Amino acid sequence: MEPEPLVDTVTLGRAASSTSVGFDEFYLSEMGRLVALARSLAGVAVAEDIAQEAMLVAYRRWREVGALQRPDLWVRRTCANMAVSQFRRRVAELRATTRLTRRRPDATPEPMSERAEEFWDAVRTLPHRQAQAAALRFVYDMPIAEIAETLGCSAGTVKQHLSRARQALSVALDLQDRSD
Amino acid sequence: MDLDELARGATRELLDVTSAGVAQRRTLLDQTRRRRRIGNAAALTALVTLMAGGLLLVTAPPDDRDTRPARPIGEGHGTALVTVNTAGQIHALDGDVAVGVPREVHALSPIDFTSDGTRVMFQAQDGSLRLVDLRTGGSRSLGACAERWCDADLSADGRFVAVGSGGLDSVIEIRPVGEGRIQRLPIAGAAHAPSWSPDGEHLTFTADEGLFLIGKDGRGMRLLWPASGELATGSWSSELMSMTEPASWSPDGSRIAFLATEPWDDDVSAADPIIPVRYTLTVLDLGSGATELSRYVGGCYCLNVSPPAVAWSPDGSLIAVNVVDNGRRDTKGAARNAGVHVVRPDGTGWRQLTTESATWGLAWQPSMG
Repeated sequence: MEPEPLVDTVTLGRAASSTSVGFDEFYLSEMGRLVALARSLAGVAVAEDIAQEAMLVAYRRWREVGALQRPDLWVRRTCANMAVSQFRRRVAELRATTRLTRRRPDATPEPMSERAEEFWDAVRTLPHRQAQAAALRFVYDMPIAEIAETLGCSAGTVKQHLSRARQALSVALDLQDRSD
Repeated sequence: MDLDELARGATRELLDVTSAGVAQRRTLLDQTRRRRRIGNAAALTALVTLMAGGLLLVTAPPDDRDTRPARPIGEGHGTALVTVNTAGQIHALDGDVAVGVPREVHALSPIDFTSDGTRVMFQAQDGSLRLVDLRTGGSRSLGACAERWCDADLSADGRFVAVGSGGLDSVIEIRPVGEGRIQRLPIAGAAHAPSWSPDGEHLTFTADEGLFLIGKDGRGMRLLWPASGELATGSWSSELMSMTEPASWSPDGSRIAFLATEPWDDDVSAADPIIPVRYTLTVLDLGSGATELSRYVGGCYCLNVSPPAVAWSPDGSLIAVNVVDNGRRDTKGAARNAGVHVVRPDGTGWRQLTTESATWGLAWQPSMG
């Protein structure tokens, strides 16, 4: 492993403190819903891990990410991609297993009602892009244009994903879709 | 109730249960960063100590490599190349699969045969790790794995299974197949992808810093191949992409084949948060440390595409690898066609067997008797 290049410690200190303050505010404002997004797409066992890992990536790159116009969309996209990746979830689940077994009983994830769990289970069975679009819509109440920007696709594609997601969810949950 | 009503209610509940504890999570984030830095520093210190001491775990074996021309698959090898696809179906790409190998297993199952071809290990659909005797059909449990998948490798004689326990502090356990005590290998930091040497005396494993070798007694740990720059930074993306797939040993134990990783782009952009990774099939002589083969086998973000897997044939003449092609063109080399390929250990005779990409499992099934 190559050593990190020497830097001016005073500059680094100033940069680090201002970076840390900006990130802390970002973290506190975003983290709650980020965990919700991760849980909606990947389930309760790995939600905390995935959300934390997305934030870890953001922290490491905060100099660049913090300068983006919408760092919140950046981290939501990171989290959403991590959550639907079967391969990446493999390691996340390994970590989550260890963390869950070490948690105090009062720190275990709170359950939701059966019907709510059923709903999110159905979301997780959707094709990845439909699930991501649906989760972003529900969790953040995002407009179409913002979902499109987050996922890196067109508004038309997002509309298509949402429409198909609604149809599939209605069938899976035996519900009427009043948007028809 | 219609869909919108249910969605609103379910979302309200989801936000209620996930909104608490943000401050504690922030503390955990800092702890995670510090823990990984300490783990990296400890491993580096150990490496420097080993190098300074001039320790060599494996003595150079005599040069007894098979120099005969490679025989075509299916003729005289007496083996089949077996894979597990994303649906959890075991099937042979070439040759016959012995009766008794289940057709469907866990979708993320490893697959591993003993060197005499009489037994096979896999993860069953119920999640348990199992060993099946192909002569009798008898099956025994090798214990549980992490919640969804097994990071496990069966020794060539079928007497032990090495299992990665999972988690940030993942350790590698050595479980006896029969009676006996479970041992843990003393490895600092998370360790994954154990792979037994043919003689059962050593294992390779992957960690943040790269690919390591260790004795089954926990002694003589050394770094065989360092993880590439950006990928050794200790972040989640780097840990994951830093060679999480097991190495494969030559049957004489003198060499290993593995997939070295490096970032796909020279300039990693913040606009693309997931680092895509290039994979290079690499053959390393454990005695001399020489790299005998280095061949690009594709790259991916590995979100919906499985990373490559590698398997050395039982007769030592071929190495099988599934090549990844996520549709991007790599300026450093042409992307290969996706699918399972074979190549001689010296890099000659590259041949594509199938356009289907193997998934978690790629293994040669030795013939019995």
